[in-house]
Amino acid sequence: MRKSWHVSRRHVLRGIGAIVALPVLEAMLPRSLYAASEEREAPRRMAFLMVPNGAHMSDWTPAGMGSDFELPYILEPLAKVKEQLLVISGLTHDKGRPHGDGAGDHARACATFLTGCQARKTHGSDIHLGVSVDQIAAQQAEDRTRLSSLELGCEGSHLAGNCDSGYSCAYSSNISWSSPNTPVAKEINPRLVFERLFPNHLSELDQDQRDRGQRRRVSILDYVAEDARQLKLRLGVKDQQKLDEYLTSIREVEQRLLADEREPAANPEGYNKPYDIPQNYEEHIRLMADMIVLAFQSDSTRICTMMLANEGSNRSYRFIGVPEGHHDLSHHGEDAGKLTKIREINRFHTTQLAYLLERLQSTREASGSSLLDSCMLVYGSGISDGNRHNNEELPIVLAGRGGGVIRSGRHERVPDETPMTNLFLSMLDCFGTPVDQLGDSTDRLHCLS
Amino acid sequence: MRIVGYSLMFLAAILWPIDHVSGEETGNQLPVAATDAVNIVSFIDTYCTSCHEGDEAAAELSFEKFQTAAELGQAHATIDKMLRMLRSKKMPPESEPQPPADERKQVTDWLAARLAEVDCADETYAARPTLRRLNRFEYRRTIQDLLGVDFRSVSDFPSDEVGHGFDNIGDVLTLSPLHLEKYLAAAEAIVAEAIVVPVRPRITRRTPRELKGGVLTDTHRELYTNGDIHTTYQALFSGAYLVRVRAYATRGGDELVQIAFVVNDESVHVDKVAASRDEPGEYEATVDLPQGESTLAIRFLNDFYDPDAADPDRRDRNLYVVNLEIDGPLDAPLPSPRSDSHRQIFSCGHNDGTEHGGHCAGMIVERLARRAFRRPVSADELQRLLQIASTAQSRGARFEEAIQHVLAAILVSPHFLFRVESLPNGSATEPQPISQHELATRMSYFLWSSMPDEELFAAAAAGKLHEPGVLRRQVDRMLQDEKSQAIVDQFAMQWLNLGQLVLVEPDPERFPDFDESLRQAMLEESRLFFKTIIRADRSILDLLLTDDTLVNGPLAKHYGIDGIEGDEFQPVKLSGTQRGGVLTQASVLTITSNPTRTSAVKRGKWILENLLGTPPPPPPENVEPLADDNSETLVGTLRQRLEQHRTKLECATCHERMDPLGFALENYDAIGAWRDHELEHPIDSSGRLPDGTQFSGPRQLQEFLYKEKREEFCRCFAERILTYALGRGLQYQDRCTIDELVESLRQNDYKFSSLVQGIVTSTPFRMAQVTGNH
Repeated sequence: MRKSWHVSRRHVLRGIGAIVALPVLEAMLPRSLYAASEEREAPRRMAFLMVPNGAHMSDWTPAGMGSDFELPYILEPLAKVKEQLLVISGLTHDKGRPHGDGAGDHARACATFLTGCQARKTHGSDIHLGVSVDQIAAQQAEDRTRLSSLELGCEGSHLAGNCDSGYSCAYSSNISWSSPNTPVAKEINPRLVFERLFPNHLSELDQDQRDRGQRRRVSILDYVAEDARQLKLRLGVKDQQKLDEYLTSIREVEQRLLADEREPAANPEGYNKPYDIPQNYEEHIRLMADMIVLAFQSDSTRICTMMLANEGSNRSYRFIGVPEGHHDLSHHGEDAGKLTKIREINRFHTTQLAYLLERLQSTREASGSSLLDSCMLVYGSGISDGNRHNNEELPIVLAGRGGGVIRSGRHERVPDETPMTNLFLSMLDCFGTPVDQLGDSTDRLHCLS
Repeated sequence: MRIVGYSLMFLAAILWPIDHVSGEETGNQLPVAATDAVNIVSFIDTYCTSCHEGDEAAAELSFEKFQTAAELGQAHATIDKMLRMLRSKKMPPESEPQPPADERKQVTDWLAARLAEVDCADETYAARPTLRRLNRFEYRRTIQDLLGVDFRSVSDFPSDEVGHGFDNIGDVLTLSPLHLEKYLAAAEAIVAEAIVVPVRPRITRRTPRELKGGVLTDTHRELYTNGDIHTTYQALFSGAYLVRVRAYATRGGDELVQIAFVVNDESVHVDKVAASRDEPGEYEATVDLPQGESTLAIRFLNDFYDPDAADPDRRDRNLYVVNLEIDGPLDAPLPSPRSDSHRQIFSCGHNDGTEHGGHCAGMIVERLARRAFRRPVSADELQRLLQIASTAQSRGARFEEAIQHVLAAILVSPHFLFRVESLPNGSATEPQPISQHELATRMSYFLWSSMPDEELFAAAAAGKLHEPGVLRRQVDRMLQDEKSQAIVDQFAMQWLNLGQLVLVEPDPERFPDFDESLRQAMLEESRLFFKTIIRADRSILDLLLTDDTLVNGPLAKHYGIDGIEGDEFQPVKLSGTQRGGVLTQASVLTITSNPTRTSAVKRGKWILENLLGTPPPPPPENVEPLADDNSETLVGTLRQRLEQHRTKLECATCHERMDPLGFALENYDAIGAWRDHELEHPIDSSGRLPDGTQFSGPRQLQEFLYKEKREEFCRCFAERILTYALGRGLQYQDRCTIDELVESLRQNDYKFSSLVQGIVTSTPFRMAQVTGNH
């Protein structure tokens, strides 16, 4: 039987701007999943978006506190979803600081962004960090959805050379870590994301052929898992770890295949499969944002991370009148002209965030609430001021109501040196995957509700 | 006894007073001077001995056996471990008292200095064998050589992490579920291309809900006026397909409903629909479809509506579609060029139409697995692989399909995805030769980024590869093979950072000449130039200074060289021009510039880092970089502004080393075009190093490097290519190999091949040991 959506939807154009309200989510959920959800409450989702090189803080931090606050220049594009925002000032990532490790602030800030751990300074051998908040949730909740998590970005790993002052490139091009030495590779091609979300899209295979394909894949995985187990016996400790990575991956893919069999992935009629990476950066970000919306909407996953660019990115933003490289520019030396350009870049990024949030907002759940209501979406940078590379007073905004737990529409200030990881602890509580400790956390963050 | 010759390094340290190797793991050099002020004994007593003492010392390291600092100074393995632990802060453990940063640094400097005194005759070293995942480049080339399939979609794999400057470093090539998902999908796509399974035609049916166009009701798609009911279809092969529509019509006027079968907007057949609601009819057309997606439509051509017609059954002509079927391909897929690989795989009893006997499966699978795993396959392995085939066949798969299953499993197996090396036999702590096949594999991935070919396999199978003569002949042969282009595309591109060229975005307002064809030409020049060094076995010093290169029309124009047109590259003599050597190539000059201006600092740093192997330390915090325009407090040309910048003391020490090198290249703008002025100011391309060396303009800089710095350059080159060849970061013991490589270069006119021969015959390349530092 061919799986199809129960409700036809209006065509959503790829690319910039065209936002068409999507219909009720309920009808698009696979029936069994929908029926299975015990309380008819929408599932909660979490997403983490990282931007590089800090922000121009005086145009980021809102004037006013509580619900009486105004959006400053950089956050202005978010006006339509202001009531869904909780701007949190004063959070710190202490493990982004050198602590005697010297230069390499970008790599460190990126590494600590979702882990709250200090990256071990190494070029290559023995990279070591910690498990990131998204992966902690994903590992506990892996059976909730077809994909336990989705990792996205707009830039691949660095092509060559050193990344940052003696730090492996793994630290500045990944924010998701499934173990202290395994970064979770991210997908930067929207077409490939789409194909992962909707593997049966446009497939001509009938059920029988699909079943045979599944059986073949499972038997291949069984075979190679046995290969790996036998091989492991002959290897040294370090290589055994690599085979553990391999075996873990096999298990995960196998679970995914089994989940597909139980409940074949839906097909998103009405959304055209994107082409490969577009030339236009804005379009690229928006396609990736669309993928987040589609992933949440189809309940393919509830956890997503995305790097709008790699940390330390020196991308040029000529299309908004900033031809200089972002990183070069972020060392602004308080130069007014440069600061103006930086805040333009910052605002460009928040404009893309607005696109994502508005799309989540306009997508309705069965209950009539918006998809954004069920989300906890962290957006920000592990560096505050790009010139000083300081890791306190980070630019962080939490969007969405976390299924009603978060009282949004506010600007809150936390005491100085409050670890960012405290926010993560509270988010994990809300997601139903609580832990006692994450990186350098000291407590829960009590200002969310 | 031979002490590692670091006299030249020592000299360099005097000439270049800032020694970058301050305990940062940024280079492979180590500091030469250790301060006597370090009290290593008291440091150990304070921070180490609470755990590392006595019979039950942690990690079996007890410091009791060392009575004096001098004794410890001889224990290189211990020192190396201490350095690692102290630098990475794994020790002392977090729970214990920590030494202040400056004390930690003094101690690590002292320890590092002891390692600089290693005696090469006493310590031979080869690292522990390491599991290395194929990176994307290697995967694609290996698939090409294994099966003759060009798997372009390798760019769909997650990008490979870079360590020690290269993306083939075993330790950072991690594997995540996303990788495995891609490998599985890749395996399926590759086997489908490599092995042709005769396809049976199959019928695909589109229900009204799946069709598009017209009006959808519960049971039909309906057209009340001229228009299309259409769908898309993915044809697995190009060929003839039967399109069948089940439909009926209502009558109106005198004509029957006319429909056209439309394929990709072209009407290929017209038919009349006479059937009525009681008994829908089937209407067919045979159509040719290209491989891939096609649009198929049933077009209603002759609408009629007359509400006043006398006969109520003749008022409205409408079309009702019940479903649409596509049946095909009707003709078996034609043999395509790719079936070469198919023929090679089915080397036994197939192509002449005969059946496969039982022995065929064994022969076919054995050959596939042996080549894919790059070693002989055990009987047990073969048995398990054949089991996959027989299971598939027992479920009704054809023989070819069954082999597809086996091949897919092979391509996802860790024995294929990783280069596996076994631990040396026994417990000997001395380096042991790696197996013949492991050596063949190391060679082929070093020189070709791919699997060994049949000749190399044969030499390995004959057990002769460790013989120096055989080894040398193989290396010469492999370097001359077209596949050695991989050294250029992988090693050279990464070493010189030229991958960055695809990312640079020079400001189009300031550099209107820069376009994609120039970008490609810049890259191609460097690639071709490097290729001539390898293929003509030239001196590696030619990279620093030479009088020839290769250019095409756009690049010749960029360089101001007359008489060369078109996109084809051709060799040119450069005497009398301002070019020659990598430093004057537009690729290098562009990647070391900012989008809006040149950067003497970046150029100087690039030289120190990539040509001389002495990178400067990272800048201190809170430094103000240069502005991009002239509206600053600092005024003048970029050079003048830099000089003002340099008067600041905290910047001066490093910039004194970097900037003069970059100044000499100031005649090249940010995309490498020659210029005599910047704005209205004439370019001053003179530079003076802290030791008093002076040069003016690129030529003198190049001559200075060529004559005075060739030792450093050779050492740097040798370190980079050894790192690449071994796929790991270098250890202190590797310095002995580097010394030998530099010596071999000197004795062989600096020929590229002498470096490669030296590496392939070296201990770390040919051997492995149990107790490595890895």
